[in-house]
Amino acid sequence: MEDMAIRSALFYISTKKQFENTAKGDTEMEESKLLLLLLPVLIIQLGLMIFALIDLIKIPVTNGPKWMWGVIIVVVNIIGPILYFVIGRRNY
Amino acid sequence: MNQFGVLLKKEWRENLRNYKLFWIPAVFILLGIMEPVSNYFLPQILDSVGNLPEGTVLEFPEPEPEQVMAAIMGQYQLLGLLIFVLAYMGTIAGERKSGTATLLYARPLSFSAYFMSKWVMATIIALLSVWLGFLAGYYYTYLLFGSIDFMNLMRFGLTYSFWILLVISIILAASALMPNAGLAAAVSLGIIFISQLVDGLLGTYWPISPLKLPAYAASWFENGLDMSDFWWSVSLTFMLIVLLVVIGILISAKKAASTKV
Amino acid sequence: MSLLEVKELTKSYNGILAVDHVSFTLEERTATALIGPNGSGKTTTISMIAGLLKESEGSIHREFNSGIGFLPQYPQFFPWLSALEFTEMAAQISGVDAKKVRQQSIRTLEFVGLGSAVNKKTGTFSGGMRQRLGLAQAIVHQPKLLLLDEPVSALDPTGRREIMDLLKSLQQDATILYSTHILNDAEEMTDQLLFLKEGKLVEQGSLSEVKSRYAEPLIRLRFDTEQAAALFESRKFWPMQRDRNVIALPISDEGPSMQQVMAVLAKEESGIAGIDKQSASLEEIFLKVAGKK
Repeated sequence: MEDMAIRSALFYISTKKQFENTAKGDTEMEESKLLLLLLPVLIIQLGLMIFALIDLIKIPVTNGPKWMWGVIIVVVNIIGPILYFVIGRRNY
Repeated sequence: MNQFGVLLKKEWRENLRNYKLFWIPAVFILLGIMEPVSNYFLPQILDSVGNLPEGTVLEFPEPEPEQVMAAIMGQYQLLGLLIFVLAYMGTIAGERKSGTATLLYARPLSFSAYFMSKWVMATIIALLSVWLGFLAGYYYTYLLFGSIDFMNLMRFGLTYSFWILLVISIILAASALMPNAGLAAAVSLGIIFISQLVDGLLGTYWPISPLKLPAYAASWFENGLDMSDFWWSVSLTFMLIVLLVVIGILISAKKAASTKV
Repeated sequence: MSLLEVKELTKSYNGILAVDHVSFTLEERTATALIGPNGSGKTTTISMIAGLLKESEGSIHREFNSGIGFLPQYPQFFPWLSALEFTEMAAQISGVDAKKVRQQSIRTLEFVGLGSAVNKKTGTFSGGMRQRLGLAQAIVHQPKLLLLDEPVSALDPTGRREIMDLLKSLQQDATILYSTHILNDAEEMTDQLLFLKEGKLVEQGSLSEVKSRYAEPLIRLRFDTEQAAALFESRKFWPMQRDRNVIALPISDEGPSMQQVMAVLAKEESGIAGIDKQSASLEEIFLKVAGKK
């Protein structure tokens, strides 16, 4: 595990150095790197959305119509699921 | 099993089953990651959205890794604290209002076990969120901007954790005091943000203040920390936390009669 | 032996008396029904005995150490807990021995008829199931005193019947104080009646004592035909009311005694088909007491 983390870190650092060394306008490198960096962000976003949707399906009643919360969770990035957990869900 | 253990198990199940155990840390990790990433790509983002004339060269000084970590803390100070308030505003007030507390209060309940089970669970989730967020944020900062001295990073995290303990104690005491979750949130937000505002405006007159802990946390990176002020502030914070917990226990016992029957 | 003694119990909210100097005792292994119109202070009284509310004046003296079982009118459960998890938590907080918690909880849930729903989340429960779970959490630690606020009011007739039977079987081991506004229930299971009105205890005693106090017994004479009844009425022996072939004679101070009525009937050869004596129902008493200024 640790080994892998270090290696991927080294990979990132080397790409960063490469990136800095390459001339500006090498957009291909930039995009693939952006994707790798943002992948965990996307995974967490998706995870939040899935958790919120599962909960929405299982819970008997929400504050406000269920379909509306479904739309908010799916359409509004990050904030949607948080809003659902904080406001939409009847916690008490 | 003693009452504290029984009630902590109940809190654990609640936080697990309403997904607080997952979504709160997830949000903190997201905030932690996005700060270094957006900092790193800021020049490109501006480049692509701004209609700058050909040939304009924008010079951005690359932030120090320490500055990025302090910026993550800045995010937590606003959005993070708001999330804690909204997540735990009703932990006592809501139970009384809905009447779920009635079946507990009608038993020989120890209110210190009751309050502490909630305090411990909220604290676990809050610290878990903050530390996971800092670690994820530091990982990205390290990749994109460079490393930070490990001891300083720990000092930074521990100092901020103390401030988080105070915030959780304020929220729980407010939830014990107020008749419903909304008012508990209003009181907590008022205390947390207005006092910080006052401290920010007039605080130069008193270097010893729990409200300065976040600033002191960031100061570990700058070698500009007066140790005596720091330790006095930590001690004061500790005393405030104990005071808030004692008040919370006493008030939740005193206001038990307001539970809906 | 008396289990609980309540003396001059009073609760005031901003000077308004919700419960006004109420005194009574609960004898061991008896059932006491607390009746009265809405807002008469039933829930407040029970809450004070349960220890949820602090009394403004007066005292509650308990002759026992082991716990109280309390069922509120609308019990609320943590929706994310299963019935078993909730019952176990209730048992543990009430100090049930750790080794016995699981077994005792399951047995109690089976007793109240939730044996097949032990692992279901309480958030999915219907009204009837909630009332059963409410009863389970009230009795799981085998308390000496059971306080039940309107235990069957929210149930349909079948559910009410079942819960009433459960309660009657509990009477062997526990003292029960329950409130109700359904007077048939009160008539069914009561050793003592407490009648609250505007916070005051206006009637108190066993069912038969209360009934005899309010009794305006009637003699009902049933005739073969309507004509025979009309004829008897026209003789105007005493004040009476006729409904078709039935005549009702109130036996009050100015009215006749049973013997006088029998004597007249024997003389008259009036085609009588039946005679019965009837005392007032609890409902009639309730209406009378509740309406009395």
